[in-house]
Amino acid sequence: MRKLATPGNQVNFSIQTFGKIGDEQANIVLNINSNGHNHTLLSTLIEGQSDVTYCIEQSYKMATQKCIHDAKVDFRKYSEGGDLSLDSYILSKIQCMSDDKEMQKTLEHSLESSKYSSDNFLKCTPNKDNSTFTAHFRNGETLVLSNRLPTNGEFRGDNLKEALTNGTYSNLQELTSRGHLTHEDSMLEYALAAPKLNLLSTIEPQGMKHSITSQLLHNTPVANTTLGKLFGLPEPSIVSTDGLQQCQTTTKGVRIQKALTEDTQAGLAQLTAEIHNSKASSHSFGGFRLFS
Amino acid sequence: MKAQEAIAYASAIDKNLQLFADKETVPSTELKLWEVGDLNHQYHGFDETLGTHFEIASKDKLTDKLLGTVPEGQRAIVLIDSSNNLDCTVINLLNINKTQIFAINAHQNNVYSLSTIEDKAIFNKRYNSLNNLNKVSVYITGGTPQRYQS
Repeated sequence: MRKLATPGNQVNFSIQTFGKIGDEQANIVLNINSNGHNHTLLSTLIEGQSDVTYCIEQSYKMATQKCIHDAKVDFRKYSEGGDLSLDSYILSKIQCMSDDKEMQKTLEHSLESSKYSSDNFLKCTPNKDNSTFTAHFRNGETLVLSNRLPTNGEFRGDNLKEALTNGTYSNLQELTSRGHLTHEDSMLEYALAAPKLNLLSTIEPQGMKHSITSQLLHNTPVANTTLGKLFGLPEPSIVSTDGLQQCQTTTKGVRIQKALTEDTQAGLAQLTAEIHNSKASSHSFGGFRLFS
Repeated sequence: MKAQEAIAYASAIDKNLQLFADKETVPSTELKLWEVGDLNHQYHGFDETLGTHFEIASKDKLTDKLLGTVPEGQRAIVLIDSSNNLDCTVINLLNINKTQIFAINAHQNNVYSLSTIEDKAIFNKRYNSLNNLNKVSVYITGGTPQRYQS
């Protein structure tokens, strides 16, 4: 065991739990994979519902921390290799936008042209073959683009039409660079797929959904997003709604959102005053106060 | 102040910030504001394993400690317990970016802009000196609304 306990072997250790939260019994097994052979170092039977829950939660925590470590290593590796560069990202978007090599070249050479801006965009029209559509811009400029179904969120079909029609972009470079290194970046998703799948196979879907896992992953920034967002996990809420009530209308919410967009501090002051006053009648608070 | 009162105000702020953040990714999100309702409701507390805990003496700068714990783009709820257990302060912290860092005490109706020297000094003076040694727990609750990131 001493021979195996080296930093190089760190990735070969795994902890598996056999049981679910709420069960009366569960097994915790510590394994190491050495030269393709799996060795069980420890197998412990846990009894009692609360002990099982505690042990399983701890195993989720450890597995998630290992995933975070591996994801950081993989991110560094792919970043240094240039696979996650903006140029690669734009190129991959262009390859989705059209299946036609000539059109791909046109797009690549027109990236900085203001001819293809949201201000100049007119409309999208369907084409006879249905596999493409035409985007029309002012001065008779057109682009024939892919209308194929975006099965994995690719930048084509409805996704592309939506971005062209409702987006704000001064040229194609801006249109295609949006989402780089965020949870929408499929290259980033691909780069960190291995740690995600390893985690999934260790703690299974119920473990992925647990608030400990989700919270740890959502608190781990990677590039311009978090591991939680990248892995498509819903953001957990550790904040309870006990003792709170929700307004029946959206009037206040819409007003505060507008204020936040115009001036963050003033918007937060409005929100704070609103919450403060929501129960002010039963307390003797001082007047509203905002520093600086 | 009772812990559940302080938590209720901070929770309402946090839930609303979550609403505004969700609205950006899911446009159909309804902006129905969360407000404080029943203050006598039993508060069950946070899962301590999800928080970061430290102690702070009055000579320490609380803001430095907090910003070392809550990364850019994240929001948190901060519980400050004084050593005499008589006071409990709960703060919402938003670290949007270097120029937009805010601390909110909704119960006192105060908003501090921690990116300004003046507010930072007021904040540290007020919350460092609750007693000689305060226990601080920081719970990161999610991201800040991206739109406000300049």
